[in-house]
Amino acid sequence: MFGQGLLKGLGITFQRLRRPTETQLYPYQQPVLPATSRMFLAMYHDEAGVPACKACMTCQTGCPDHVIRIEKDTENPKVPLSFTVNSGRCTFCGICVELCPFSALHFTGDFERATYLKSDLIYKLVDGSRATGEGEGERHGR
Amino acid sequence: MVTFNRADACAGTETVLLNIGPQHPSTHGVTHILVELSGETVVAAKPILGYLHRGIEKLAEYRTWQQDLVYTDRLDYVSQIGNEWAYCRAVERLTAIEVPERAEWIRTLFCELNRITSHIMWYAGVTMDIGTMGTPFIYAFKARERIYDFFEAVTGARMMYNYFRFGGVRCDVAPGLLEDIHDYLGGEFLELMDDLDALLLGNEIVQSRMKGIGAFTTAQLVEWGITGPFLRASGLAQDLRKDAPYGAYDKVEFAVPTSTVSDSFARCEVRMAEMREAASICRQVIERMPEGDISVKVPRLLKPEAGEVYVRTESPRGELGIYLVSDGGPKPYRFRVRSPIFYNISALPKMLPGWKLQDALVIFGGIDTSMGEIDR
Amino acid sequence: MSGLGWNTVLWLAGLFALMALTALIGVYWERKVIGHFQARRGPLHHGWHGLLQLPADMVKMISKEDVVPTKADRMLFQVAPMFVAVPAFTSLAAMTFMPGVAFVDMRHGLFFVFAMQTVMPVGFALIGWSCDNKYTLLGGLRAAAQLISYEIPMLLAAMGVVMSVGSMRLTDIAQAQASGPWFIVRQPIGFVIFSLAVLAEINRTPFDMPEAESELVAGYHTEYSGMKFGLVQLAEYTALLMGSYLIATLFLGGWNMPLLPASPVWLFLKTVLLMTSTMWFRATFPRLRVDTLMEMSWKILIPVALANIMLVASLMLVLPKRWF
Ligand code: SF4
Ligand code: SF4
Repeated sequence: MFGQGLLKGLGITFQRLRRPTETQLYPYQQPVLPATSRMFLAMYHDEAGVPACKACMTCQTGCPDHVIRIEKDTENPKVPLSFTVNSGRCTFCGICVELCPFSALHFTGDFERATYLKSDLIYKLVDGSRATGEGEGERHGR
Repeated sequence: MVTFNRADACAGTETVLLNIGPQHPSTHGVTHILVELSGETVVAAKPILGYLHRGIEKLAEYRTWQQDLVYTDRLDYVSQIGNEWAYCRAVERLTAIEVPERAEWIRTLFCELNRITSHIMWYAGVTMDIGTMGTPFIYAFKARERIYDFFEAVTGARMMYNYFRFGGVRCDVAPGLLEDIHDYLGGEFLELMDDLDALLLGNEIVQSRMKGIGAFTTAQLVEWGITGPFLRASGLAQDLRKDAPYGAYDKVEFAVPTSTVSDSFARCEVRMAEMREAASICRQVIERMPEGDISVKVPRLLKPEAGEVYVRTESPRGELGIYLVSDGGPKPYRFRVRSPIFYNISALPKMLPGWKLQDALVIFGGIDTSMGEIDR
Repeated sequence: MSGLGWNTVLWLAGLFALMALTALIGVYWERKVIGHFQARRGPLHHGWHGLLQLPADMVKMISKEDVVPTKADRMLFQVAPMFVAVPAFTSLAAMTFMPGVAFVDMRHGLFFVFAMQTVMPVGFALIGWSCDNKYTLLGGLRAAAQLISYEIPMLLAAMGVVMSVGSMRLTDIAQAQASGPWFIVRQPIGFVIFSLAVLAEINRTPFDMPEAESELVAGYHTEYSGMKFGLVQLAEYTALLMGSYLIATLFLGGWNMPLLPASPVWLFLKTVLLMTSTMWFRATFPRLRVDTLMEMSWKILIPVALANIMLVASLMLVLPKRWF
């Protein structure tokens, strides 16, 4: 009937005034993320600080977006000299974590990495002595 | 330049070309429709596509079969699981991988949850189109957020899940979570649905704006290649979940909501009913989910035999097809998507003329576009 | 009328302050109220519960670049907002808050308000035309058409009240409700028509076709930025205030309250309540279609309003004077 639905609608919106709001007060209150959340990548290290990565290159080849770039140590091919993640290209798909035979990679709950420069999104999980250029981002063109 | 046939009706006066989109408050995504108006009546309309073209079909040819799965999420970014499923089914048929029973049930569960979130997105869009300040939109998004919380707890992401694997799913669902989903869909969600129903279907202003608007016959819709709820609202119960069952759809009870009125309001009714049906499917799936494996072992570098396959699924927007050609290598030779909305939106030049500008937007809202899938 | 001199200056300052405050507090209040209707919180970050959002918005509005589209008719583009803003502000002058407490206690206050509002459609049409933009053109024409068609039922509905009071002075109208029942009880049909017409007149949901953001981007003020946009906004909130004030005075007893002493506080509360309920409507309803809107005015409201006048007139003859 005419008007009844309108009144009902008004009633529904009015009820919401009394209920608690749904707003997430994000910068003031950190959201609680489930443990499975896929945010920025990190690597496990043992007690001595040695990274768990064995430089097998599986993740580098498995990543669909050429995010990961690993440089092997020339003397010791089982040790990564540097492990660069160009997270600006990362789709957080989780393939690298899933593929790693040594379970060296994992996702953290850290999602607050907004930067002003794209280049700031490139970070290293393993940083050897040799200064390396930027990751794959360079090669795939800015 | 676009050419239009001027209708005889407006001879002597000038028509106006009006751009709706690509940057426009009522376009869903980056839709661009060029309409020709005589007064406020549409005499011609032309959708202009390509603003969201990311070349996914081409990208897929340069990535391995497994890597392509990541990109299917990004096709129709409001019903991601549906796309993953379509692609996985295609590859599974190509390589003859058997999917374990439990995996099929889990897939059905998440596909239906995704159908709800996708329809909520439509609900939000359509209520904004008819000019609410976004109140029903925000109420509906509360449900969407809750369901996305479930998704995040299982898959780790809120939108781009990358959850399905060839021959199963990536990880199992915790029993506690299944109970949560069941409780939510059986209680709070249905209450919210009543509110949403009242705010949209029960509202007389909405009825006055939608009833009789965009009434097309079934024959017209079939001719234009329309699928999905838009077609079902005209009385044709065409639903691939029933017609060519996959997953666990042949083992659960569900109705295919249809309407015989075939106007914009009927489309709303059908979609609202589908949300309730989807919730009921989810609850049945949770109640009857068998135990067992969730995936089978698949070689890391998949090399299907040379051949081609076309798989159809029922996405929330219509018939989503994936066509794959393999040349026996580690990468697809051709990856093609039959996007339901592309066919639906292609009919706009035939649908819109004759309606008022405001009606045209209501009709357009009934299509439920998602540009990610059209432009790919 | 108050004489010239300090008194006038003070009243003018008061008028100006009222105008600016309504717009500013109106915006803040609307954002908060709609936020809570939508299960959100509204402005929150700047200051206590987002209160500093007000001055921030004002500074932003004033300091923004004033963009004039290249193809716009420059002269009209600059002048057109005045056609909307000036009548809206001027109509505030007719407000009375208590017997004897008024900006200008006009003998034909109601007439003056309506006369001022009749100028506004011209402004909307000019704005729509001057920008050389299709959205503004459609929005401006819609606004003009809507305002013109809803002025008639509004006037006709007010006519019933004027007939029964026998005066167009707002003080008299409010005073007439001091002893007898309010006009909402005496003329419920008139009240409904008047409120609907006011809603349409101030372009609020469900009658906000001219601004229809889902089809016309922002309607007639699409091209305006900076202080010109501010002026149009200011005019809209002033119109909202004036509309709520008129309903409160004409039908809800103005400053009178049964059993309690008359005071401007009641008037203020009623006005705020009415303004808030327009926000409530805005939070709930979608908008009508243009042709339904016009049909509603010409085919329903105007005939009913005319019938209402006849009804009031015949009741005035039949019933005792105290009631009508
Ligand atoms: S999450 Fe995906 S895109 Fe990101 S580094 Fe791992 S494999 Fe590459
Ligand atoms: S897959 Fe694991 S071990 Fe191999 S390179 Fe990557 S992180 Fe290192």
